[in-house]
Amino acid sequence: METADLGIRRLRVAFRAGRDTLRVVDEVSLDLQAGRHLALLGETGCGKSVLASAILGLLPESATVSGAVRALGHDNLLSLASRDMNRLRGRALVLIPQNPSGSLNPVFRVGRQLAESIRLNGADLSWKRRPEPSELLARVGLDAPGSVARLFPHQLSGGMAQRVVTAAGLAGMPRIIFADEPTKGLDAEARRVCLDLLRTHFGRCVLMLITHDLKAAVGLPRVAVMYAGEIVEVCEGRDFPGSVQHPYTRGLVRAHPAFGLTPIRGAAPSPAALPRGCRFAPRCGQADDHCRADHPPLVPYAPDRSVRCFHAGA
Amino acid sequence: MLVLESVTRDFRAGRWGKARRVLDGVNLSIGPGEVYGLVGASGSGKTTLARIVVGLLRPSGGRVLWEGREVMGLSGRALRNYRRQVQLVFQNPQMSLDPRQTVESALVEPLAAHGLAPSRRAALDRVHAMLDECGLTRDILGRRPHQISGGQAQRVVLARALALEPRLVIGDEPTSMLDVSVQAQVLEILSRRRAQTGLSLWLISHDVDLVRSFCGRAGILECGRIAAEGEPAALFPAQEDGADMWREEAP
Repeated sequence: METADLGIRRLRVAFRAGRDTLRVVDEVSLDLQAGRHLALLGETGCGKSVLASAILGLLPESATVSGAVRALGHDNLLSLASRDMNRLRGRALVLIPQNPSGSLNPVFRVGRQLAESIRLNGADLSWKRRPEPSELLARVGLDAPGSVARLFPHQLSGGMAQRVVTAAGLAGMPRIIFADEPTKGLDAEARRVCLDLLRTHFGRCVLMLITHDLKAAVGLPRVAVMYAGEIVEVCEGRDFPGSVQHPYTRGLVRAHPAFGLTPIRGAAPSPAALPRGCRFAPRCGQADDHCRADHPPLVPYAPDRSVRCFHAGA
Repeated sequence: MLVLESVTRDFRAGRWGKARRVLDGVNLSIGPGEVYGLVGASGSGKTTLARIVVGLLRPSGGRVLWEGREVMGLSGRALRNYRRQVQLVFQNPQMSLDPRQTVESALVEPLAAHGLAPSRRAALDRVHAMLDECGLTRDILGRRPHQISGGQAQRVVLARALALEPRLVIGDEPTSMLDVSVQAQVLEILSRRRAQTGLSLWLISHDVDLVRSFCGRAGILECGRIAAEGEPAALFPAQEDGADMWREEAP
């Protein structure tokens, strides 16, 4: 097996809420390789964004994080001192945040904010190799980078804002990128441009594309699906969406307008009240007593493919 | 039933700014029981058009006709009746609900305002029936918008709209903030009501897949004009996204 450039081992994130412990991310293990981009699919509240924030050390004190994340020559990013983490974050380890226009400071011009990213995160680069803000904007395909640099965030369209935050991610020398819902709220054309951008600029990097948009996942080499805090399926990109195994993944595909718009009954469980057995059992047509009593493990059934379901493959 | 005749709308940036024509002579009609999909890129004027139809904006030119009568000329009882019959559902459900209002009062208030419930008892019965129809449970009634999920909030908004027994529901990207599985649930509520009462639906979306599978007729709004109109399958053949794999069989 190839060595992983980002090895996530048994990552758990729990929050305390009053008397309850909310297990938001539960025993997630994933290996990512540079150049083999992975789409992490999941619906609102399944824990996919929290997973990325945990790896980047961006969660509040109230979160309990355990497990190990091996990357960039460190055995465990989670136990790095905050000084060392600060040296990685924004440089080698980049998060392209959800809600791009909300992630920009409304009172400064775009160019000035990019210049700050370059000053802070390009410190590993020699002065000569440090890019200009307009250069970064040109690299993300904006037509008039000079004039965009003079705009304020509220003057950007959704697609432009997405490109600006992507440009900020290019300021350092990124090696691992988490793109959190980059296509949210974009129309078809802007979405295509955004995904192409990620593919071309981060081609040789580790990229985790966090999304609830099934279409955005199509064409990526690998797909992982998350439900109620855990990975329920990992497959090759070419299996998706045609030959996915888990009932939840199948349900998601069938709910998509291109595949029939058939809803999945019910709602995802609250992280405070997770079912004892399979977390999808209450909504699953195939569930039996076994599913309701025992929690299924994530079982590999082929190289790089695994599924968390007693009935899969049967 | 609803007819738009060369509707135009200009927006001016500031008092002396140059007028920008956002809608430029839109002609469109929606018949009883029809499901019409309006597709357009961001900024093409879709939302402006919907706001004009429900009377939130005035057109700069052209006419909006409901049952042959011009909407801008309606007043009093006729206007109130029009506002009940044509319901608009917005993209962001949390922002369509008053943050200080409980779900119960959000659902009861329009019934009272339109005189559809003679007593509080009757109003509550109606609200309970609506919750059942929209797949919500009664414990949601005491909550406020920030205490419920986006999918629940959009169902509350739908319950509020459908309780008034509208004849046309305009959904302005009603599911684009929702997950796919919830999107399908929300659209199912609308389809079911349409099958029961012959309600017309006007779905505004930039999701071509959605319009292709949900709508019977569709139009493309481009630069303020209806650039094309017809059957969704003919308007949007196969994939323009280059996602050939997407055409594989569903599992």
